[in-house]
Amino acid sequence: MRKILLFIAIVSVFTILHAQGINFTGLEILERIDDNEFYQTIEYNGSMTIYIDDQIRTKELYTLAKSDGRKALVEFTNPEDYGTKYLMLEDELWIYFPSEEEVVKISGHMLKEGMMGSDFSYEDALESDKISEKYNVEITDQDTLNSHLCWVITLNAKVKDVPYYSKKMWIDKVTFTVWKEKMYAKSGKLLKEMNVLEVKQYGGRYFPVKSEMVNKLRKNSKTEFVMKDISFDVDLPDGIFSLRNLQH
Amino acid sequence: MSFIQKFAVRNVGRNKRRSLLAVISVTLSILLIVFLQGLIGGFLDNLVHNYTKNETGHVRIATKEFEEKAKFFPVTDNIKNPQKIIDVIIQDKEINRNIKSISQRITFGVLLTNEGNNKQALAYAGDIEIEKNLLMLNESILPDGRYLEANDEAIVGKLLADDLGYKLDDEISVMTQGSDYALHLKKFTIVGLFDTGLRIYDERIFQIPLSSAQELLRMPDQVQQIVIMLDNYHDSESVAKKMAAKLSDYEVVVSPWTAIGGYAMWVEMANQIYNWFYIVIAFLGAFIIANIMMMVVLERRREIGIIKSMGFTNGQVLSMFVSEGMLLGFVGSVVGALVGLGIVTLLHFHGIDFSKMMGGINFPMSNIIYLRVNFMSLFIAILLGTLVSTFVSFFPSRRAEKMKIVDSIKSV
Amino acid sequence: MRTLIKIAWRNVMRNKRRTVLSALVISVGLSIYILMNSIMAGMDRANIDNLIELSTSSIKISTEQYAEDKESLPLKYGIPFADQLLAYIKEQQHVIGATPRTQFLGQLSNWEDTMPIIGQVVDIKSDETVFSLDNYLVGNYFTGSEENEIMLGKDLADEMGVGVDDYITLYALTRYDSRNADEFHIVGLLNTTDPNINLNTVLISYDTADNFLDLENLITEIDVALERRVSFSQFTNDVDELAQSIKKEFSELRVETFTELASAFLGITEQKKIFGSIMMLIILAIAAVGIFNSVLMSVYERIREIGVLRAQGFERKEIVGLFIWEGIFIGILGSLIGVALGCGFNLYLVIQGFPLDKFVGFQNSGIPYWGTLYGEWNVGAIIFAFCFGMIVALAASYLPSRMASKMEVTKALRFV
Repeated sequence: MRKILLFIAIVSVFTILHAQGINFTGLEILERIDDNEFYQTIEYNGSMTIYIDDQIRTKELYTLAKSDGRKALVEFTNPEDYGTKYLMLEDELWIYFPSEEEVVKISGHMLKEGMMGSDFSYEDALESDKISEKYNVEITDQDTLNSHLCWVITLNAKVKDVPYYSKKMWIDKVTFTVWKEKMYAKSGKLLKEMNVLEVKQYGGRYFPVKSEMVNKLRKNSKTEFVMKDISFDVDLPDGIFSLRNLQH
Repeated sequence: MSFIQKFAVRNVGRNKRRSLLAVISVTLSILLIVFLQGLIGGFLDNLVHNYTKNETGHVRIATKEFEEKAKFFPVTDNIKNPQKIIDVIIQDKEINRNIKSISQRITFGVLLTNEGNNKQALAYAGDIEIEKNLLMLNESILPDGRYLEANDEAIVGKLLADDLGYKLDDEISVMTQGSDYALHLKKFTIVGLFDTGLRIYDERIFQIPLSSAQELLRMPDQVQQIVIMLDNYHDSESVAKKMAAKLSDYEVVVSPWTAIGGYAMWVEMANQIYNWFYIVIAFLGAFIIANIMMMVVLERRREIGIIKSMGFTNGQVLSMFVSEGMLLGFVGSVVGALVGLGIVTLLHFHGIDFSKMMGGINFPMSNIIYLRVNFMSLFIAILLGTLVSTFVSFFPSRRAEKMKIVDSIKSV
Repeated sequence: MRTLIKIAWRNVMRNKRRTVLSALVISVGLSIYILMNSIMAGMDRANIDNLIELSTSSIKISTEQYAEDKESLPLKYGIPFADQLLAYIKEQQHVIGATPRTQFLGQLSNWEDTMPIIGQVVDIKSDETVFSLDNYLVGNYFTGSEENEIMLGKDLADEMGVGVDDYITLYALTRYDSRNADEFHIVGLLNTTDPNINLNTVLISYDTADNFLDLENLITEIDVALERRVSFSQFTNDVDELAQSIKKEFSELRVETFTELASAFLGITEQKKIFGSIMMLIILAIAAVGIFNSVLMSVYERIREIGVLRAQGFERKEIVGLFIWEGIFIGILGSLIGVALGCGFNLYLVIQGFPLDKFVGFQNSGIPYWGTLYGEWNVGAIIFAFCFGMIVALAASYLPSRMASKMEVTKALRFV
């Protein structure tokens, strides 16, 4: 579940600007990404595939999300989880179980521990504060990734309470797509790597429709996320993101 | 030498009081030693039973993947056909003979929630009846509640309930990842709260029926482990091997408790220490026997003089006394051993119940000791009694035989 | 009366062999009883001592807030005046050490597998004054070098497929909930008598943690060790007193003694105690058999003598009295020697102890050094033993002599 939110967050934080040949500082690039409300709302069908060793598990989901108030409603459509729903409002999470018609609230500290033994936590999904407030940003390199010309931006933590002490991002100079992001620990050890595998254009946006998150602390451990049937800025009234609707 | 032995027998018969006294001493000593051996065996059995009943049993059958990750209680690699496996085992008469109980279990981690309060806990699921003798949580249930009787019921540790604000008759929601890797929820009614006095149980654990767990985890007719208790824990390794051979087609591993966890070490230590105790006490018993025999012989110094004056040689006197000693010792030992065997066997089936002596501590542990019958040690006890008696009759008679006839007749 | 006693005494002295044999049974029986009693208590004590020096320590202190949230092992609610508290404790009577510790949640990874663990941060200078890990150490203790050092329980290391001088990745959240992971050098492993410790221990130093976890010297727990007293109840008293005084001085702290922390273990000991009592009873029973029989035999030996005495005009009462006094003397002799022997050996056991590893064949089974077994004094048991010896000797003298004295004089004279 957290993985979905992760990608929702990535999607809501990173944007696509159509800008060419402009000299940006790292901070400016990110500020563009920061400030830009990428979407008001989004609706899509997604699938998340978890790879651990030779096990492959796939979850299918239908998502509605609204950036105002960081709301999201996710419904699982794969057979094992069918009908299970997640409601996310700001920092809070509720889960609805169809078999018992019961809603359960998950408290914050529980989420940090990785309830199912996964090492993705809820926080991965929600970097609520602005990047610029927590990190020093610098363009450190230029690189070509899969024939895309990218800035390589390095972020180093300014404060102690950041999820990752440093990050490196490969940002497409043309589309401002984040093609790759590497997350590092305080020790400098690489913890995770996010790669965007496929991007689609929707009107003026370049949207990452297929990405993967790789756990760098353990072999053969990664998660793939695919989005399809995407609609942006559909009208989604707040009532959809309510407990009442969840139980319905 | 047979006339010497006839003499010996007649002597023994002649002085009934003395012989009886000697035999009774030997009998009682040997009886107590045999009883002690049975008690120690029973105590160690009880120790192993208590250490293994909740986790591994004497023998555990599970999939390889489960055993590798047993610490995390995985529910994703289960035994798909447990009943079939159990049938295979029971049908083998040789294996079945050793088995005391077979229990199908699932142990798994869950998240309990109550109004936004989450807590991790451990669920134990097994057959309600069989678990009465294994988990034994039914014995620690607080007065207002009761043990499990039907599906969808749960008994919860008191501290766990307090932490989450649960009360008796509340409905609790149990959330966990099923064997299909999806999140599932099931509601249970708390029918009882238990207080074992052991923090680790009372604040972490709750018990539910096996079928409810199978429903929640989406594992119909599957179980995580088959836990087997034997009559004699010493057989664990050999029985496990036999089972493994029978189950070679079933993709499970069969492990004796000695192969899992660190408790084998403790038991081995206890075993050795108690063996030393036994040796010391057996020594005491031997000493007592020696003492009696010595008195018997020394009492009869005058007799020795008379016999020698009648023409018996030193050697003949010696062998007569030794024969008497051996006879008395043998008879006493055999009687003592048989009576001891009788008592041990009786207590083997009936057991000694320690619970009242434990003074109100209601740990979910078995407090009944079933003495262990050990024919080998019986044989050794008889040997001990006889040898000691024989040996001890040797020395004083040796000294006495050397005495001058006149002096010995004079002695009183 | 006095003449009776004199005669009894002379009889006892006269037939030394008989006296010695009877008294010997009492002595041996009682001394074995006393020693076994001491050894069993000593074993229980050794178990508790082990528990105290490896995991519970004598007293554990944390803040109330931390104790309530203990489940999640947060890196917060530290003890605010830890230094002051440590100084105060170290000044108290009977304290031999106090050391801080902080626990954290993390994961170990060897690239193949990850395993969630509970780690402990230790102060490498003072930790050894409270927790004696060096008896169980495979490899080395922390050296305080610049490198990230870690110590693991042996079974845990085996599960992760690593050993001394290997490296392993430790992952954890810092005090500020930031993720950190780094390579750690495994300097040593712990192979103790407690399988739980061997399977679950992960230790790093405060110096390392200040950097790795941004700990900033956060101390969430203080452990105290008190000196071992020969008497267990005295030790428990010391501990309770200290716990009270700490609670009074620093009222917002949660102070737990080992009796609370080890309650499960102490309960299991109950069962062993009961079993031990039964063994003691058996010892006493065997001893009683011996005493009874030997005294009985000597009485029977002297029935003719009784006849002679009766013929000389001794009353039945006086005869029984005579034997009773003889029984008393033998009883005193045997019991005194028995108690003396028992106490003598016990003194050695209590002070020097019994090197367990040499006797119980540990080496081949790979069981780690369990240490020396010390005896325990149990004055109650000793007094009981003495009385028991006396009572049995008396009973053994009284009953048969009563029977014998009832016999017809002529029959007694002819007795064989």
